[in-house]
Order: sequence, then C-alpha cells, then structure tokens
Amino acid sequence: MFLWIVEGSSDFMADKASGLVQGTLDMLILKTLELQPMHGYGIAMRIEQISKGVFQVNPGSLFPAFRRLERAGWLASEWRETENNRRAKYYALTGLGRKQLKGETREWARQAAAIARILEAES
Amino acid sequence: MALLKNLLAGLRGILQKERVEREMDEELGEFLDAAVKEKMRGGMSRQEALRAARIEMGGVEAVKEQVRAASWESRIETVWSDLRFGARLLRLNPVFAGAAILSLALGIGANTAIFQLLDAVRLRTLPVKNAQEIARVAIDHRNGASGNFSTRYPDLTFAMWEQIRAEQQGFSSVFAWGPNQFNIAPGGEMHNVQGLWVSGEFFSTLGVEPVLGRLLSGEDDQPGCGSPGATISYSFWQREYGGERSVLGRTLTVNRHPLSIIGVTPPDFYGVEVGRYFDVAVPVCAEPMINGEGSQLKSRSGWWLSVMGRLKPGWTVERAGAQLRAISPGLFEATLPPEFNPGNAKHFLQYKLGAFAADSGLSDLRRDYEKPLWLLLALAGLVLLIASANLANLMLARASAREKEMAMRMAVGASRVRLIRQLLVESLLLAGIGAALGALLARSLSHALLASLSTQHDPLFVELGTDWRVLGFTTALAVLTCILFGLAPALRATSVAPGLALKESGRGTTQGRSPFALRRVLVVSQIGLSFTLLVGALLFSRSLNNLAGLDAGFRQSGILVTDIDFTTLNLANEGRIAFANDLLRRVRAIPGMDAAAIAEIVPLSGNGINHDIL
Repeated sequence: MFLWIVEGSSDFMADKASGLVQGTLDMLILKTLELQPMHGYGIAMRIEQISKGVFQVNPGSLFPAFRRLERAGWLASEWRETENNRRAKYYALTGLGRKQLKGETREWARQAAAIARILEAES
Repeated sequence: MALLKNLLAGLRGILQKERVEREMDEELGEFLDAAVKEKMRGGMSRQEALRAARIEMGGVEAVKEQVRAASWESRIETVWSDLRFGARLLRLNPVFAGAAILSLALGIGANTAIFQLLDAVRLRTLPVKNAQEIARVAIDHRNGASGNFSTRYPDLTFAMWEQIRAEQQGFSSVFAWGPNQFNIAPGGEMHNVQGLWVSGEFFSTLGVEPVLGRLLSGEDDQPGCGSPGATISYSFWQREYGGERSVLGRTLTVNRHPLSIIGVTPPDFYGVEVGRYFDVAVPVCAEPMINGEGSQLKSRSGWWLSVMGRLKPGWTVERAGAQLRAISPGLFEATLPPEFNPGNAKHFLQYKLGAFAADSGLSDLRRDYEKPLWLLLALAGLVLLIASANLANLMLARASAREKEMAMRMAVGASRVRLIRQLLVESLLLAGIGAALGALLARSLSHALLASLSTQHDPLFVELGTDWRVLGFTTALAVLTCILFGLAPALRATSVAPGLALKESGRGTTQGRSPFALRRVLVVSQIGLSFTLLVGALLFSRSLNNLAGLDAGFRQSGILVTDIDFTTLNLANEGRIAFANDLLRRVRAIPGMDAAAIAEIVPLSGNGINHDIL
C-alpha cells in the first residue's frame, strides 16, 4: 500500500526537512496548477501559503519535479511576460496532467481515509 | 505518446544543450529575483533579501545538477563525459594503461579461448533441426561383450540394427551410422579421408538438405546394393573438386571400388560427432563390397554401428528407452552370435537396450577432454584473478595519488555515488579494451589449443565460431574483472573526508586511517594464488616429464611405422605370409635398415583386440 510512496526517486530525499511525504510534491504541483498557469516562484509560494507554512518547497526539489512532470507529459511550459513586465517560464496543466491529478487525488483520499481508520481504531 | 515526448525532449536536451541550459539559468534567475522582491516587500534591505534568498535556494549549481539528473539524457551525457575523461587519463599514463590492458587481454583471452572450445564440444547442440529430439540407442551397461570392435562407436551389430529398425516404436525414424577411414586413391599411395557408413535414413532423420544433387536415401541403402552412390561433404567438395557443380556423377574410388557422387551436404553439417568431420558418406549396404573379406555386416559378432533416432512427438527419451528395454529379450535372442560359448551367450541374452539423449551429438573429444578443459578454465580463471588483484593494487596506488582531486570534487558538491560511478567507468574502459583485445587473442589461442590435440592421423575439427554464449562469457568476464579491480579502489578513493584530505596537503589520508590494510590483503591473496598455480604447474610439468621419459621397454629412437594395404593384390590366404616375408626381406636389404618386423597391432598405438577363448 505504501509502494507508490517508496517509488519516488531519490530527489525527494531533500524534502524530508520540509516535512513533505515523499512522492506527494508532484501531486501538489499539479493541484496548484489546476486553476491557472503559474511560474516556478508562484507555485512555491502558493504551496507554502495554502499549507499555512507547513510545506516549504525548496528549488532543489521543485525544479527537478517540473522537469520530470514536463517529461511525463503532465505539464506544458511557455515563456510569458509577468505582471511586472519580465519574462518567466509559465507551467500549465495538460489534459494528461488533469487525468493524473484526478487519479492521484482519488488514491490519496483512499489511503488517507484508510490510515485515519487505522489510527482511530480502538485497540 | 508520453514516451515519445520524453524521447524527443531528451534529444532536444542533447542537441540544443546550450539553449536548454540558458533557459534553465534564466528560470532560476527569475525565481531568485522573485524571492528577493518578496522578501524586500516584507521589509528586508536588498542585501539581506538577496542573502536570505540564496540561502533558501542552496547552491544554484547544485539545483541545476538536480534538474539535469531528472532527465534520462543526462545519464548518457555523464557516462560519455566520464568515458572521455577516463580515456584522457589513460593517455596521460600510457605505461599504466598498457600494463593493465595487456594483463587483462591475456587473462580474458585465455579464458575465452578455453571457453570457446568448451562451448563447441559441450554446450552447443547438433547443427540439425530440433536437435533435442535426437537420441542414441545403445546397450545399457554392456560388459563382457565379445567380438570384433571397429569404428569409434561400436555400439551394435548389423543384425541388431535391423531388429531395432523393425521393432522400435518411440522414434519417428532411426538410423545407423559408423565412422571409418576410406582410402580414395584409385591406385598407388593411399589417400585416407574421413568416411561415414550411413543407413538410408541418416540424412532424412536429421533433416539435412543437400546443397547440390541429392543425399543418400532408403533407395540407395538396399541389401546387396552393387555400386551405390556416395554423398560428399561441403568441405571435401571445395577441397578436392574446387566446388565445381560437375562433380555430380563423377566417380570416387573408395578402397579401390568405384562409387558415383550423387550429392553434397550443407557447409555447417559435420555429422553427428562433435569434434570430427566427414568427407565421404557411403551407404551401409556397400560395406561388404568395400571391406571385402573383412566385412562385418554379415558377422553377428561384428560391432561397428551406432544407432540414433528422432523421437516421435510426445515421446520422451525415458519412454522410448522403456519400449526398447521391453523388446530387448527377443531382440538379443534373435541376434545371438552362433559362435558364442554358453558363458558369453548368458551375458549377451541379459543385455538391455536403452535410449540416451544425444542433442549435442556424440564425441570422444568431449569424453576425453571435457574435464581437463574445465580444469584448464578454472586455472585460467585463477590467472585472471591474479591479474585483477594486481590491477586492483595499481588502481589503489593511483587512488591515493588522486585523493586530493576526489576531496576537491566532493568539497564543491559532487556526490560520492557520482565519483564512484566515474571511477568505475574508468575501470570499465580498461576492462572493455582488455576484453576486446582478449577476444581477438582468443581466436588464435583456441585454434592453437585445438591444433595441439589434433594429429595428422587423427584429425579433429571443431566449429570454433563466436556465438552469443562466447560473447556473453567475455562480456561477463570484463564486467566481473572491472568490479573486482575497480570497485574496492573506487570505494577507497571516495571515502575521504574532504576537509581532512585538503588540509593534510600532499600526505594523503589513506596512510592515516587503516594503513594499507586492503593492499596487504590483495598482496597476500595474490601471493597465495600464485603459489597455488606455481606448485600446480610444477607438478604438472613433472608428471609430463615423467610420461615423456617413461621406459616403454624398447628403444624408441629411429623407428618408422608404415601402414601397408595389399588387398588389391588379391592374394590367396596362403600366399600372404610368403608375400609378407618377401617384403620384410627386401626392406631389410635397404641400406641403413637395422631390423624390420610386421605386426597386426603396433605397440602403443592404442589399438587392441579382445576375444574370449574359454
């Protein structure tokens, strides 16, 4: 049942400090991009804000994740002007990425519920 | 689809490397910029914000390295650059590289050569279709047999073969065959070639197709056939007839009897005997004509044939063997040689036929040399082990010389795994070059080895091709030696504390920690192995020397042995002694001739005859 967590590549080791469960960064990035395309810093900030500072994603794991997700065909990227007239690379969710997000969310919910049941069970 | 995308993106990463790198720089710069702005908005000064953002980000180069590592093409790139770096190091150090490659080439070459021979005589199956269906029919535990045994595989007599053909059930077809030497000179000096007696089913059972004409079939092998056709092998066709198509219908004299050539077998077919070849195949029915009064065909105690067959679908060797066992009592009853005394007959009637897997053919070469070859392979393996240990020592010495390089690279952020990988790639480069040279060397070595076993009188033939097994073996050797001599030094070289190594300028840290423990182990094991080999070699050469100097009981120098065939003179029985005596008298008259004698069996020739007389 924990197989997919273990499967994450060694790049995630760096996330130990930020308290992120291995393998969940991909899902969080996909989720963040669900509404609109964003650039790298925006994504990092948003994850930090929404998690109320629980997850601090450092660039050392964020950018490899972008590269990996792009390679998997779940993200597309393009260079665009930012709000303050600078060029930045914007990432957007592809159709495949949307499907992946749905699947991962469902799986996560299923597992989280299962873990909760185990923890709440009376011994 | 995703895979294709990944592939294309990876190719872009390789081909447009600069652009991809520039974009990455730009993206990271943008990220840093945004972070600084954000922090300034929170009230930091520009200086403070920049510092804080940099600390958060960690090293820019480290991040870039991590991004690169997330894509497959970077692996290829690092291996490629490691290879180039390794090659450069080797070029800088030609003496080391030369010694390493040479010792590896010799070690791997010797191992590959021996394995090539083993592969050819032991591991490969017969070059016929569905070789796993071929089985040999022979008497299980034949002891106390009596009679005249000729050919290399005197399993059965002709009478038994006829019975087996008629009564067996487990084989879709069976055939009999026997190797023999044929004299194909029409007159004058003998010209012996490798011959085969084959029954009519031989080629069809094995599934051999002719490259020219037709092969011997059931029609050619009829009892009492007068002057049948002969099938020749591809190599004989090339050698004796220059591959001319007009060879069909030409006459071939076999022991002074004319036969006409009807067809040629394919180039890769050498018969069912591994380690031998054949030139001419003649039907079994021609044996009485060709051998004349020495014929074995009618004799019930003439053992000269070997029987093989192709199993019917669904029949196993065991099942076919059981059926043969079941028919054995009747079969041996019917083929009992009339001249046998009661004792011999009792033995004979208790014989049981059996079936034996023969998918890799028969081979006296295998029987005689398989064990020595495995032993030789083990010895060559030891030599390679010593070479590896030696090389490991050299690599260790190099490793301590490169300690500062390693420490420096670790200090600027290289991971230990990355450094070990690079060192292993360097070792693999050495092992690869060594193995390639070794494989070349092996070709001539294995031929030389075979030539040392082969004599003019007893020629051997082994198909010494390089097949996937040999290639796999050599590759495995290369990888194994690379790990043997490369891994420990690589682990050692990278287990330095960067600060310590850099501080202790020049002195290195290997001395500091465990002084030469690994190298001592290597040297001790090298000496141990070398001694084992040395003692073994000494004992071996001593035994060989003893054998060569063995007193055979007669003076061994100045002896000439000739085989004389005077069957064509058609002498009557009583005239032969007189002829031989006359011949001896004339030979003795030759100047310089001390003495001459005639013998049925030349001493130490390995031939023998055995008859029970009680």
